[in-house]
Amino acid sequence: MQSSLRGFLSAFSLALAASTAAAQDIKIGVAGPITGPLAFLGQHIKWAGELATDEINQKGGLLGRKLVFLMQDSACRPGDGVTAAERLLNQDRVDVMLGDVCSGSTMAVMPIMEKAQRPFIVTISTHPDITAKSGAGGNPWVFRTVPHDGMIADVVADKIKGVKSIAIVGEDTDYGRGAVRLLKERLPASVRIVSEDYLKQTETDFLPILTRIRASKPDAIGTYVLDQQASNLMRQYLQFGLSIPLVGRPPLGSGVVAELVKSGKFDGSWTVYPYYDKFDDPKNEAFVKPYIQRFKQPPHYAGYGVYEGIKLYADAVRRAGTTEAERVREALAQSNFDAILGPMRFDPNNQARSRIMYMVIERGVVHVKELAAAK
Amino acid sequence: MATDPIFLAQLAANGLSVGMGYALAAVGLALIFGILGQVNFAHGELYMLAAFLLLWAMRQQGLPYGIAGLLMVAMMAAVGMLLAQGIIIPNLERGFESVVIGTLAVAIILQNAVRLTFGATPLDIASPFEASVVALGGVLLFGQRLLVCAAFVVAFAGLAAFLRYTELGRAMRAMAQNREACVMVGIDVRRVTRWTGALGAALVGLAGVVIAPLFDLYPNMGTEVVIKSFAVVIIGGMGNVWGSALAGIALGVAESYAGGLGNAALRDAIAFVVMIVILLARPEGLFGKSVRV
Repeated sequence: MQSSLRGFLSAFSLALAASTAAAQDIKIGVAGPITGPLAFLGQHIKWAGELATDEINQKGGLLGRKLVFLMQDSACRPGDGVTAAERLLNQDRVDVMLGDVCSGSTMAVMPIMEKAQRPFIVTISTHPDITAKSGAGGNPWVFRTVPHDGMIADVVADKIKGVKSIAIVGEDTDYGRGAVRLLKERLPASVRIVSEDYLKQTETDFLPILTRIRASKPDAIGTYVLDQQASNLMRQYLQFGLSIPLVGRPPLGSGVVAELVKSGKFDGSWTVYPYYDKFDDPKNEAFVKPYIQRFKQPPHYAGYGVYEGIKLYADAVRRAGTTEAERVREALAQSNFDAILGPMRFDPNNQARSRIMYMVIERGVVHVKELAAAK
Repeated sequence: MATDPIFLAQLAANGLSVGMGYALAAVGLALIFGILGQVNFAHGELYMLAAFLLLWAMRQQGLPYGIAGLLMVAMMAAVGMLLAQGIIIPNLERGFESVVIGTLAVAIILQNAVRLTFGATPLDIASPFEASVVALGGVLLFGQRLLVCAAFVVAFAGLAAFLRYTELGRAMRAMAQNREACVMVGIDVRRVTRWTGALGAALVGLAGVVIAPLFDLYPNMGTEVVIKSFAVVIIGGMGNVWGSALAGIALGVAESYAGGLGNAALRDAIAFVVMIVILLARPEGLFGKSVRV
């Protein structure tokens, strides 16, 4: 796969070298999880990266040059993320980098991008500190296309108002603990938190937590874990025969839990997410259809982020008329990009004020109930 | 809530079934250490391999769970024999670190081979026991977890009988006591090594077959298992099979109560707190060293 792609690209570049003498590939790098418990998200990053670059290359590339997508393993850990980013910047000399899945890794790479003076487009991580430190916050090279956890927590807090008691189950990471802290800051006093559990990302066994939840009978389970853990949680939830809705940010739209959702046992559960692949919209279909055709799986949110991030970068390069980093950075800041969920523009902190999806499960089907505007 | 008897009984039932799973997953590691004095760092990947091979046998070959499971235990025995022949036997006369590095290499190769073959998307095994739940006076017993308990009983009883009554089992115990003496009285050390490898891998294979359907399958799933297994083996006494059984169950129950009455973070700390205390108080573990029956 890799070698055939390279072969294709090198043949392509030979043909092009004849016409434009100084033409060089434009390189897009990403440090993401190829190994570790989130490796399947890394797979979607790679797929989306290949799909987006191929689409652009088939239309003649960018400024007449070919786009190349390069990925190095971060295992979603800050230390490995930094090593991977250094390699992409120093050895492969990438023109732009995209952010990792895990906020911890993304944040560790941010100062490196500032030092290297290359654009860094964060398309998956949702930690609010990324926004706080970007643009007017200090690091002008970082742009974020997805809403951050504070923006999402605003919507969650709005939807959760009617719930009286809630048990929190989150992953023990910057994401899980951070998102729950933001929610707690916004929760009305009428909502009581009966318990809080934070599990390491590799934990698969939810027995003690579900046993306690079965006894404490909260109105809802605030779920802040990623796809794979949610799948294990939901399978064990079914065995316990619970009927307590999962709320907050369970990854209900993920392909990993699609079969579980179909059981109908999660009706009434809801989530607030930046993206859902079955969102009924022609622009979304133009992305999802070729994705499924090529990779036999619907795109994950991580894939959506990378795909849009690359298209956004291409848009900025076209407007700048160059890949020169400073000019592209200026063009990115001025973006009015035609994104899947609507026009994408950046605020002074380089945060896109994207719309956010509120989804509810009804009779075993996930419905997008609302595209909430970011506050 | 903390005094609700059903809640406490449910935690006990959970802990027992989880603990038996820990013991079953760890016993192969204890066996290979006890008899051969070697640390098998590919232990977790053998568990992972068994799970993925089981998935392959059921999805690609259409075998039912029971038959595929038994087949996997046999296949894993063959894998263990290969591992002993390829990694342990050539390094018998070298320091233990040779086998550590060798098995670590096998672990890395297996992880990446599985990633390349099956991809990184989490998969799951459809076991017929998964959906069945028995309610016993308000306490829920889960079908697949009962199967884990049954596998634990069968495996440990079978292992006891094997080590006590068979010629090969006696040779294994002799090797655990003194390898040089075994050579002197004419025990084929290589043959015993191969069979020990086969037995250790078959046991962890059995663990994979009965435990893996509870959770998602992914190429790194062995890492978590191997960490717990090491904790169990160290608490139980390096190389002591019965120590591992008791340590596994005790750990499962302790974790269940810590997680149920406390929180998830407390539960994660339990294994390592107990391990540190044991190592400080009894560096040889709870139950000494050698394999005893």
